[in-house]
Parts: sequence; C-alpha cells; structure tokens
Amino acid sequence: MDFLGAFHPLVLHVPIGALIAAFLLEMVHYFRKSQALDQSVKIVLGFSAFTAIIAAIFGIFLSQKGGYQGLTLQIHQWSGIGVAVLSTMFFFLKSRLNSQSVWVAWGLNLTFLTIAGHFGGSLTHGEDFLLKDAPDFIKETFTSQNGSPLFIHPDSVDVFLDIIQPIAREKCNSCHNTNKKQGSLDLSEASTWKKGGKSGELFDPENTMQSLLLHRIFLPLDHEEHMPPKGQEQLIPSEVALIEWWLEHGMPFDKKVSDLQSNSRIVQILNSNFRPLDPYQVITVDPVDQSILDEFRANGITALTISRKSPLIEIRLAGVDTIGSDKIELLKKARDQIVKIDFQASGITNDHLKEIASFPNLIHLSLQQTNISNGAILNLKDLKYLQHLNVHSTSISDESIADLMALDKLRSLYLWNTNFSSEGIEKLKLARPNLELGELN
Amino acid sequence: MSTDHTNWNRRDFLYGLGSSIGAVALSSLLACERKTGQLVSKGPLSPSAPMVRARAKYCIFLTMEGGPSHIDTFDPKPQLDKYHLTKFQRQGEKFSAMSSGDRYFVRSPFSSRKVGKSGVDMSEPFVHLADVADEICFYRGCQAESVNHPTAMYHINTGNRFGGEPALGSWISYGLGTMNENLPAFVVLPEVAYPQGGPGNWSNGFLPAHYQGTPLRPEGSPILNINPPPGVSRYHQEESLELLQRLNREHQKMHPYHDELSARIENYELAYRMQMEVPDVIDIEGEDEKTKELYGVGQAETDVFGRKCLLARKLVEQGVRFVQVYSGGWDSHDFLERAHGNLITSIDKPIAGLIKDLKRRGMLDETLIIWSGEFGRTADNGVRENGVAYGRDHNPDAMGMWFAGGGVKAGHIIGATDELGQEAIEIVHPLRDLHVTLLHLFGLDDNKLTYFHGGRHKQLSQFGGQVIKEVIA
Ligand code: HEC
Repeated sequence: MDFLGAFHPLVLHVPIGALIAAFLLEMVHYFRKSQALDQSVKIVLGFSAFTAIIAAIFGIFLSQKGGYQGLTLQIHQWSGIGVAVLSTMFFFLKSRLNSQSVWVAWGLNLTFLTIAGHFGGSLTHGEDFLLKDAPDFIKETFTSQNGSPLFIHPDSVDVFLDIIQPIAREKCNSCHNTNKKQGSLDLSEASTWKKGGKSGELFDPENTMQSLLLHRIFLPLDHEEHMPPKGQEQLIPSEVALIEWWLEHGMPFDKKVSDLQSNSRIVQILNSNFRPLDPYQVITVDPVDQSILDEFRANGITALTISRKSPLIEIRLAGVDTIGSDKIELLKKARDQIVKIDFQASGITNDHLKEIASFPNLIHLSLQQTNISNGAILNLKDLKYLQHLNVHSTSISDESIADLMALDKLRSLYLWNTNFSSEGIEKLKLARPNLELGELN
Repeated sequence: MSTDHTNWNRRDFLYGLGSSIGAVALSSLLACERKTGQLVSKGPLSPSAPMVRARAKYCIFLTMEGGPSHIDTFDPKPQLDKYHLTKFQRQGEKFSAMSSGDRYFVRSPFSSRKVGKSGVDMSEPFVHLADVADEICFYRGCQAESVNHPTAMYHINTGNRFGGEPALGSWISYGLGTMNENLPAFVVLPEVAYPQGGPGNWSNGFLPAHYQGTPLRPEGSPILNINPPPGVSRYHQEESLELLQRLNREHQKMHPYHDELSARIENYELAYRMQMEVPDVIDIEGEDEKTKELYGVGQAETDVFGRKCLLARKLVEQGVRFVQVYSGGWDSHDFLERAHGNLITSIDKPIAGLIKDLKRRGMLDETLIIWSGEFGRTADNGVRENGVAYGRDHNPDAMGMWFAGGGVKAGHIIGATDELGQEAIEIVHPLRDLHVTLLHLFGLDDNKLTYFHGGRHKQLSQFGGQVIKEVIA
C-alpha cells in the first residue's frame, strides 16, 4: 500500500490534465457543435473520472502512511475524493443533463479540482508555496503583517511576539483562536491571553508551576486535559522550557529577551532558534558599475565584491598611510554597496570617521593599529548593520564604553591592547553578555 | 617565428599586447616607490572575488610531516592498554610489507584527558593547547590512500599522489589572488630539511608559475639575496632590472607561449616590490616580548616552531592567502614516548599562542587553521631489529586532523575511528573531500575551479568530491 501511495503525486496529474482538456473540448463544442466533439468530450471525461478515482485511492494510501496531518490534509482529501465522485457522476449523467446544468456541473468539478490541487500543493511544498517566490507586493497583500520581524540579535527579540506567539500559532491556535475558542480560550493575541479561559486566568503569580497554562502542558500525555490534546502535534521540550521561562518571569507581554534573566539552557535554545539575522542577506542594493571599481583600484584602493554574484563590496585600505578625504569621497561612490572596510594600520583618524555614517550598510569595520581615539566610536552610532568592530592596539579606553554599548547590533568587538581597564571590560561584558570580545575564557 | 612587425598574426598581437602592458606596469612600479601593500595593476595575482561568500580568507596549514599518531594526540584509545604487547600475525595481499608479519599492539605512552568546555580529548603532553580546545574542530573520519611518505605528502598537498600538480596554496591563489601584491600569495615555512617529496609539495604544477609557493628559509635570512649587495644603489638596481626586463621581453617575443618566462618577468617585479615589504614583515624581533613569549619564542623547545607560527600570523596579517608551516619528524616507528613527546611539546605552545593571538586580533574568523599529517598511525607495530619497539606504523585508514577559525564548528569532534584507532568508521571521507571542503570554505567550488591542461579541465580533487558538511559551522 505504501508502495502504491508513493505513486499518488505521479498519477494525480493525469486527471487534472484530462479534466481541463475535456473542459476545453466542451468549450469548442459550444461554439462549433459537432457530434464528434461531443463524443470526444465524453471519452476524455470518462478517462479523467477513471484516473481521478485511482489518484484518490492512492492518495488515501499515502495519507495512511502518515507524515501529513491537519486541516490542510482534510480539505485536500475530501476535495480530491469530490473530484473523483463528481467527474464519475458527470460522466454517467451527462447525456441526461440540459445544457445549463452541464455548465454548473463543470463549474463544480473545476472548483473542487482547484481546491484539491491548491491544498495538495500546500501539503508538499508548504503553506506558502504559491507566494514564496511571488514579488513582494503580492506577498504583502496576501500574508499577515505580524509575521516574525527582522531581528538582528537574540537579545533584541520580543519575548511574547517573537517567541511565545509563534509557538502558539503553530501548536495551539488551531483550536484556540478568535473563531474557535475551545475551553473559551483564545490564544491569538496578548489581550486574550491575559483574559484566560473558562477556568480562569492562565497565570497564577502565587504558584507559577500550578498556573493553568503550565498545569495543562505538564499533565501526562494520556490525561484528557493534556494540552495540546493527544494526537495533535505536541510541544517539544525546548518550547516547553521557553513557556516555563516566560511564566517564571511573570508572563510579561512587553519585554525583550535582554530584559529577562536567562539561564544557559534558555540562551542555548534562543541562539539556535534565533540566529541573528544575516545582514548580508538583508541588504539589497544594485551593483556598482565596474568603472567605479576600476577607479578605486587606480587610486590604490582594493575593492572586491564579497562574491562573484553579489553587489556588496569589501574595501581594503590596510597599511595605507595617507587616507585623504579624497579617498573617502571616492569611496562614497559605492556608499550603499560597501559592507566592509579594512583600515588596519592605516592613516585613518577620528576626523575621517566623521564621514563613516555615509556608509549605511557597513557590517564590518577594522580600525585596529591606527591612531583613532575615544571620540571615534560615537560616529558609528547610526550604522544599523555594524556587527564587527576591531579597534585592537588603539588608544580607545573606558571613556568609549557608553558609545560602544550604544552599538546594539555589535556581535564582535576586539579590544585587545587598548587602554581599557579590566573593570571597563567587565562592565561591557555584563551589559552585553553575548558580545564576542576575542578573549579565551 | 617572424619578428617582422608588419606581419603579426593575431596571437603575436595578443601576446605582444600582454608584454607591453606588463612593461608599463613595471615602469610605473619602478617610478613610484609605494610603501603600501595596495594593488594597482591587474596581474595574475590581483585579488578576485570568491564564487560564493567565503567563510575563510586566509589559511595557515600546520603540516606535521611524517604522520603524527592520532592515538597519542587527539583520539585516545584506552582499549589498547588491555591488548598491550599482545602478539598477532597479519598476512595477505592487501597488506603492505610494513603492516604484515609478526605484530603486537602498543598502548599509548601518554594518558589523555578531556579539556575545554566542549570536553574534547587531548593527550597529556598538550598543555597549552587545552586553553584553546573550544576553538578547535577535531575531525576523525579522514582517510589517506598512500602508505609512503612522499606519495602521501603529494596527496595531501596537491591532491595527486604522483606529484607534479598544483599545491593547495597554488589553487587558492589561482582562484582568489592575493590581498597584497607586494608579497607572494602562497608562502611555505619548511624545516631545514625539506619534507619528503621536496619542493614538489608547493609546486604550481600546471598552473602558471606565479602561483607557486615561496619557501622562506627557517635559518639565517629567510629570503636569500633580498637586499642589494653592498655598493649597489637602488638606482643602479633599477637600471639593471630595467635592462634585464627589456632583454627578457625581447626574448619573450620569440617565445610568446613561454609561461615560465612571463612568470620570471613577473617574479622580478614581485621581488623588487618584496624588497620594500618583506624586511618589515619577516622581522619578528619587532614584536613585543609578551607576544613572543606567547608563541614560545626564545624558549629552547618551542623557539623554532614558535617563530614560524608568529611569522605565519604576520604574513596573514599582511594579506598572504596561504601559509604552510612544517613541523617534521613525526614518523615514530619507535621511541614513541620520547619522539612524539618532544614534538608535541615543540608545537603545543606555539599553536596555542597562534590561536590566541589570531583570536584577540579579530583574525581567527577569517583565518582557517588546519593541523594534519599525511596519514595516521597504526595501533600496532612490527618487530623491529628483532625486538619490541614502542612505536607505530603508517596508517592511511585512520588519521587525526583538526581545524580552527574560518567557518568550522568550534569545540566539536566530528567522525570517529574504531575502538583501537585502526580505521575511520564514522563520517568517513577520502582526502579529496578535505580538499573540496577547504575550497568550499574559501568560497570556491572545486568543480568550477579548473585549469585546462593535458587535454582536460583539471581540478584539485582530481575528479570531484564532497564537502564534509559536518565540520562546517
Ligand atoms: C486539537 C485542539 C486543541 C489544541 C491544538 C490545543 N487545545 Fe487547548 N483545549 C482544547 C479543548 C477542546 C479544550 C477544552 C477542554 C479542556 O478543558 O480540556 C482546551 C482547553 C485548554 C485550556 C484550559 C482552558 C480553561 O480555561 O479551562 C488551556 C490552558 C489550553 N487548552 C491550552 C492549550 C495550549 C497552551 C495549547 C498549545 C500548546 C493548546 N491548548 C492546544 C483543544 C486544543
């Protein structure tokens, strides 16, 4: 049976094609009545009915094998069976229908075909298969706006909106939503979470572990009150841990991860689920003209795109003693494309860095072994993608702490051999525990 | 071949164009003495973008020549204690002379412990490396194919056991160029005695000669004749170089397809530029004392390898793509405890220092460090000089290697060998997959990085391979 089931995706295309072909013939027949055409419509219709039955049977085999479940499958299954039944009936009854009912029958048949086809596609290619590659404006019209936002760092993740709500969307909202409130509970937005269900509020500040929400989740799977009910897709341990962590902090609805205290397990879960968004994939710009790169080169600036297809550019000015403002001006010709500048051991000064905000997409900035000093960091505050900053072997000191902390997208910061005090470093570590500081243990 | 200029055919014209552009480049270089490592001309070593975004931009390949024992370093086999000196016989066509006959198992002279937060294994003599254990990705699944040193060396270095093909560093410089045109893209730091197989281990093979590895001497002046002899001024040197280049180019006109000649012209240009850049880079005395101490420079056991590691860092910092650092003498057929023990001590602190230094300078992210020999060693030994010797034979079926930095999974052990360490049994890959993985980390696709030679498009892996996905972060 499993073997036959595997043929479902193959077989199903036959009735789809045949049914549409029959319909087209019918249209031609409508304009150009002919006995022969009517006959061919019947033959093709008969053929599609027959193959639709086979496709439906194979489909049922496939669904028995498991791996697919939920409403999508239900709709697909019944609309698919519908196609088989309808087209069979249509085939046998067609000669007895008057011309108007023939068109109604066609409409019904094709509607079922479309529904079955669409949900079948959703099953194999994912819910958003149609829109995945659609242009953005179409996507915006069709998908909800409260989808997960772009976050750069796990610390800036909103605990309710980005962590709890997506879990609920996947595992609870099918039964607990605005339309279908099982147990009078709607888990679709903050206000309804706060309201609770027929037994009261979800969170009990007196006894967190006995809170209605956790109680239902922790009940044994076989218990009839266990949530999600047996047979439904269950919460995985890391999801349970996140919900528990959220309740331990009083079930807040307006907090970021950095506002709550996390233990190592939570940090680990968050880091693996919320990979900091890769700015290299987010920044979309047009490539610069090759002539600009040539001009850079002619002026002693090494410029390379980060890959042969990418428009993003890396600049190397390492070791260049004379960084005049003319060089910086020149670089501005690719201001949106430049994502990395290496000024290592160059003649860069604080003054030049005043211009650095002109490169809004800078991700990586190397200023090590230069004469820059404390005022320099302030200039970086508007770089919204800046993830890596290297200032080792400069005179930067504790004075820059506040400016550095303001760089909230920063993921690595190299401070070796600067004038930072160890207290200064400790302070920074405390404020930004996930910041890579290039030290070992 | 006609030198009558009115009778140029298309080829002559194109080659002529090439050499005249070269001349312009040289004279412009001679004209302006630029102290910086910046690129102006677009030569064969000019940097080019990787095929896809790269995880690694630079590589330091720590090559342990002779075949270090995985069992006595990073892949301990406590089961061997049980079988220590148990005798057995191995016969059969499949086995080399080295691995057949009367044999006995040999336990490791070193105990081992788990280190770092990730709890990876290291034998006792590794003291400093334990500090950086969480930066390292140990890979136990690799298999070599050759039991002999020279062929195995060629294999790991060039992808081909017979030698004569381009080395890893040559392929990478061919694919990506150098970030600093005043230095070679591929530098080798050998031992005083070159490894088995000699300079073929860093040959450019069939690639244009610009891509060959440049060895720096481990003793005395790292590059011979880098400074003009006394009495020759910079001006004199320029004049004579110009003359030499002019003669070379005349000669080249008659041999337009002579790739070595054009490499020679290029090399003179490079050498001239290197005179300005190199003395600074290779002078490790200028480093502060603490840094030298970090690498073990100045301490008897670690000085030699420490200097090389420090130099490797300096070269990478200046934009050299690929630095290969050799440590020799790992071929311990006997006196395992003393031989391996001393060697481990000689590399332990320098390598730990290198990783720490790269890390604090923010260079580790883009620098891939590889530690490997040409093969691993057996759990057993043959009867030597009619007696028991505490050593191990060559073993291509299991070896130890590790990676750090540039896009690999830090603090992990990937793959496994069997309970005695005789054969890789999990996540097993041949050496060519290591090569494919290496190129992949550099944003290069082994199947696309090809060079037409001998009638076909040749590639590092010879005929394709797989990326070892498990080691990639
Ligand atoms: C298949 C449908 C279904 C899914 C999925 C589901 N529930 Fe329920 N849930 C119910 C039903 C039915 C009830 C009411 C019967 C009961 O009390 O057990 C209920 C009741 C509850 C209650 C008690 C409400 C009250 O006030 O008595 C809580 C709390 C709850 N669910 C939480 C969840 C959570 C959290 C999830 C997701 C992790 C979830 N449920 C998923 C069907 C579901």
